[in-house]
Amino acid sequence: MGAAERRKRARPSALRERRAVARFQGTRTDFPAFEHLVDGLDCPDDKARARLRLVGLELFDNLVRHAGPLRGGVRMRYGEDASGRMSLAFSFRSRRFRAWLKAPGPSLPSWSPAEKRWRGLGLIMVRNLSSRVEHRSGPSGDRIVVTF
Amino acid sequence: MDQLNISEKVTDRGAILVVEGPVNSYTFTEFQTKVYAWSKKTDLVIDMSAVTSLSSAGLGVLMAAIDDAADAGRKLWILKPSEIVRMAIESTGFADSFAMIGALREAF
Repeated sequence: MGAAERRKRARPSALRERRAVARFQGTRTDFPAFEHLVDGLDCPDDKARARLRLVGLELFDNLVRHAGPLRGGVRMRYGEDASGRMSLAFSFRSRRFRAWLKAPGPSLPSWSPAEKRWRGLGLIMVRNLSSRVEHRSGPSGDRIVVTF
Repeated sequence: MDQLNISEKVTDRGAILVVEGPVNSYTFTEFQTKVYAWSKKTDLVIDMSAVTSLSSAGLGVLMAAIDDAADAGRKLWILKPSEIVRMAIESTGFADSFAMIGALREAF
């Protein structure tokens, strides 16, 4: 074993830290690119990647539908700390999204006659597949952070 | 796989839809059209072994199709759900509503 290999083995946790940053326009046409990006991330395992894919797409979809048009686009940041805990953050600027969050709406899944399907499942999915979901807004914009 | 592909097969016992690719807000309209068209008129098996993601929009369609099928006295099965499909279904807390099977012989 060479010196470099010994150094790697001595610091295994540090080697597991991962970061990725990407910027999207914030439209429906970003979906395939977003999926490709998640597929290429160095996730701890396939189950973790599946959770990231489902939660990330659900949140991204909500941004596209309820925050747009997003003039500055959406910045996505993926992180994995030394313990393997993943986080996903979306940064953007949207008054419309803040208004949508504050608006009263059904808190449970409900039937939508207009769309002919059940609605309200997304937030349940996101909450059950992650540990914590936060929305922060301030002068610099909006940020949704999900910790797994 | 960026696109959703749905192939249809009709047997003397019912219909089989083979779904491949992502079911998300970008693609779910085609999924909705084909699932609803079959779920009301015959027993239906949806092969979801090659589905790469399933959004809440797609789940909402599946739940509505299950209701439609039950109202019409029909049955709907999810055949060999991929890991991500199973995870999405279980995350809603409504997994008991979905008849998930591992082989076609368990359906018709």
